[in-house]
Amino acid sequence: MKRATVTVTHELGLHLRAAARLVQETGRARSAVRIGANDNMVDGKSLLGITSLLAAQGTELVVEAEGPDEDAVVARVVALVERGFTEPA
Amino acid sequence: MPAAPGVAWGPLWRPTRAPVEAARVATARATARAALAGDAPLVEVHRLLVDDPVLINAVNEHILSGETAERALAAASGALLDAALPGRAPASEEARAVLARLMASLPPPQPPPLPAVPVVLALLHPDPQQVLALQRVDRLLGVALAGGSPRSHTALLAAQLGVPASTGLGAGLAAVPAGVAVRLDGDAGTLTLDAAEAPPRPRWSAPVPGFAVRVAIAAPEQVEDAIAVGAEGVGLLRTCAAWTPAGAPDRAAWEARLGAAAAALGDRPLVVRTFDRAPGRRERGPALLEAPQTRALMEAAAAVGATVVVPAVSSPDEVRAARRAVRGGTPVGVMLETPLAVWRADALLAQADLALVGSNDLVHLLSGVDRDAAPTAGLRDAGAALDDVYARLAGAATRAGRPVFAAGADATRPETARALRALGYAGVVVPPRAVASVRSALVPGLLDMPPGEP
Repeated sequence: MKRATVTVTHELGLHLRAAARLVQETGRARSAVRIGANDNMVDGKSLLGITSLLAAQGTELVVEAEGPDEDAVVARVVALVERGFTEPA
Repeated sequence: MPAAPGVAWGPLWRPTRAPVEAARVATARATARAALAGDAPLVEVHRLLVDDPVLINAVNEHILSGETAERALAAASGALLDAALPGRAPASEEARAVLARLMASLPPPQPPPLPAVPVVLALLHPDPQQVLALQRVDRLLGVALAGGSPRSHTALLAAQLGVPASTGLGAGLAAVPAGVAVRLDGDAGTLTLDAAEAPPRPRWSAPVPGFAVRVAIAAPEQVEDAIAVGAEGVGLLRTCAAWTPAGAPDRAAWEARLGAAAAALGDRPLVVRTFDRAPGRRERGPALLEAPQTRALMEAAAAVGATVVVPAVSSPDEVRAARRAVRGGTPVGVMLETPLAVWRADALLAQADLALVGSNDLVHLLSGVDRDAAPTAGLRDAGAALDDVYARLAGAATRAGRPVFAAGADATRPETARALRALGYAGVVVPPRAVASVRSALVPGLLDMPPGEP
């Protein structure tokens, strides 16, 4: 299992469209993905689950993946959060 | 809890709706996915939600517990509303929109699978459609409900069909294996595993002088049940199950069925109720009088010399309309089952040949408590109010010189039957299985042996 942490920098936190971008990323992965904040872990492929984390700016997100592409998906999620959910430059 | 009197023996049967309903949701998801074109951010959010594992699991949990796709989607939608938190609201709102989209994309309901032999139907959730589906093919011996109240539609439907029912049996009902022989006791409100005993024959009982005990049945063919228990005629033949959605309503078919019932009854009365509710239509009884389906039924009833009663009447004009529709000398009765009808009872009885008090609807409308809800203080208060309604209507019937009967679950209670007789009611209309118990309540010790068996 691969695990990493990343801090939400976007001023609106993990808002609806940001969460949608995140789920697009996790949904493509073949690994199971779990994302959490404040000791609450949810299915990383569920938009409902991720928005329920209520992760505001400054929240530390935990990203876990288990499966054939676990390293890649964790790296992509961390990168996405770090650059404020924008498309890669 | 006891819900409908009588005892039934037979194999337990649990409808296996889940695969059919899950397939309907899968079809709806595919339809919704195909309709979500483009790359607008909100469209993408909706696309993600159609396949959202948390959302789909919430829906599937309800389907696996035996609910229809419609109810499962509605329940999942309701849960989102309950859980709506400030920061979560946007996704909850969009998820509700997606569930509404899925609801609209559901393919038409599939008929539930049917058993090969008569069974005791076990339901974890109220489901009147299942009860009717089994009754239509004559495979229904009894109804066992895990939840619900004795006044839920499902329980009342069983009572109206003359089938024993127990409610509130608990989640343990899910653990009883399908196919095992069970004994359902609707008088005690129990379900036991019991293969040994054989079903008893219906009990014949003698009439009580001055107080007619007529039966309520749901198909003309059930008139045999009325005769077997020695009832004084059919006080209410319910017809809703036979509503035909469109096309030619078959007057000849009705005339053949009603004619056979009338012939079997001989000089005992046959009272036919016009359609109360029709699938897919919001109107109730009086508003359906002009429908060709209702016309065909009324003409056939008139042709065989039956009495016609109109459900949910609230104005004298409606009685006059029914009388015009049947023409000739066919007696026309009214079902008094709304507070408005109670208030206007004198005016209605002036136009009608007989009145039937519908206690189920009255309790529901007096209390405002949903018929599928668990028993509440509101229902008990409505029961007390009902006693007052019975008395008022007895007065109106006496002033008009018309006979009045009481129907519905309350009319099967021994205390009610005794009170109604004291008020001067002409009788009660009860399911075939309740005839003997009502009579024995009126005259203890009157129960007789079947005719020809001293």
